[in-house]
Amino acid sequence: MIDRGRNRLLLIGRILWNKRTQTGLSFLVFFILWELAVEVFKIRSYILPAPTEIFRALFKYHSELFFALLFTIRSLILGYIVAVASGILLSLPVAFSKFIQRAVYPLILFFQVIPKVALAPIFVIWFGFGLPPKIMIVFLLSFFPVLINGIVGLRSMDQEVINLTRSTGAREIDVFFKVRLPSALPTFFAGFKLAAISATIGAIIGEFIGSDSGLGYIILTANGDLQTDYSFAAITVLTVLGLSLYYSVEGLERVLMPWHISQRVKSVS
Amino acid sequence: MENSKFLSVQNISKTFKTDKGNVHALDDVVLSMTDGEFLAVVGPSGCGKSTLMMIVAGLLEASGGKVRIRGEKVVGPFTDVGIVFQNHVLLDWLTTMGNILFQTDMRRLPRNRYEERARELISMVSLEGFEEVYPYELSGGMKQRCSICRALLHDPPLLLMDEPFGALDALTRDQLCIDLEKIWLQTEKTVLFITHSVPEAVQLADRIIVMTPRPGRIYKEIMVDLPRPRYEEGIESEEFFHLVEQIKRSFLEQGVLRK
Repeated sequence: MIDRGRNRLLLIGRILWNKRTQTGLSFLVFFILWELAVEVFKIRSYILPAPTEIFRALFKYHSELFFALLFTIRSLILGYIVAVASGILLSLPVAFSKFIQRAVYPLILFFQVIPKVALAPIFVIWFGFGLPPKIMIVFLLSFFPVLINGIVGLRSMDQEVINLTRSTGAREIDVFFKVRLPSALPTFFAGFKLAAISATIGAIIGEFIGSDSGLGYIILTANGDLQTDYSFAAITVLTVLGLSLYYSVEGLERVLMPWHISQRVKSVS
Repeated sequence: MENSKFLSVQNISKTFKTDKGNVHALDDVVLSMTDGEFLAVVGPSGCGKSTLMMIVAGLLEASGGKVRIRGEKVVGPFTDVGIVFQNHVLLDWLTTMGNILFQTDMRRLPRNRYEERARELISMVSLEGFEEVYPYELSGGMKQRCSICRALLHDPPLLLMDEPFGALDALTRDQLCIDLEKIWLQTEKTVLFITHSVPEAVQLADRIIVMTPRPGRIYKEIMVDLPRPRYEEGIESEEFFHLVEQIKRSFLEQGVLRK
């Protein structure tokens, strides 16, 4: 009898103790510690607001945050799409032409090494306060990972696979669409995911430097007014936005490549 | 006389240029195959037997000599062929069916005309039920079976096999040998089979070429007159063991094997 009871407890434990609850638990513990720390050490709200206060601010300012979100999403998505599209397009000639690689690649690398945050104020001078400079910064930050991964993916075709296709007398165009592109897909997606993270950072940098709207602008002004809870609320929205973009890309990856190894080791992501 | 041969390898030699100097892989290899013959090439690793197959396939250029298939000189990849590589070389994103049909997709042959044949081949190698499964869900032996189907799909007269069972465990290997002999008896292809396994060669081939260590030359040619199908009793006969011993002895003579 005792044994059966214990087994039942173990079973319930195993059901509750799955991967998702493990992740959720670490977040829960983190927020409880945070809340307790603020409570116990009597930290003032303008220095570090407790999670509950941030939650309250989220409700209080929800319409402001919503409109700011719409603004930030626009520059984020537009910049990201332009970066992904141009990264893919440019990776093709660089991957397949030694000449273009020698001529264009160092130039791209040169622009990549410039700290893009330093360029942001200049973009304000060139493009003003509107959407274009923000799109530009998002683009600059997320373009490179797409390009680099694209080139690596397109180039790394297994020699034996090349031999196989040659022995069939296949045309280059068939090899490209049926072998090279699908085999490059996982590497491309690694780039898309890295770019999604950089793009979110880029969107905020753009709004920090010169903006009168957006989540970055809210963070900046709320900080100026010592409304730290408001600022944290905006950061929360921003984090959710970044994660949403990342997981959308990952979702697309899952749909497009159910065969890929990253889909089999799910605990990694 | 020469043109009556299906395939002839005429004085092929191959030297690879590397950073550390030249590697002389093949030296004056001469051999020929008749239509429908199963020829095995055995030799120690590094003797250039895979290189030889690549040259026959036209995937590698010889440094000297030439290959003729049906009297025509091989220049560039020879496409009227099915190749089974040592690794299965299946594409991750295609199912078993997709990987087999890859052969005809690349050749721009109509899929619907070959699907039926693909199913026949699948049942011939006992892969039924795995048609829509991706390679990562298949065992090593199943992957190689799939790769054999791909090589046979377009019904080529010539089958080149480069240590196709080398990466498999002993039992799977034995099974695939049995299956391959069955397939060969049914399809009557000309097969060039590269291997380092002596019993495998004796079990399958009509004739065996024994190669020397690098630079690879032909050391000996051995006819195998065992009755077919060999998987029934051939591999237990005294003659079988005698032939295996004979080839092993030739490796001892060359110093490939030492006592």
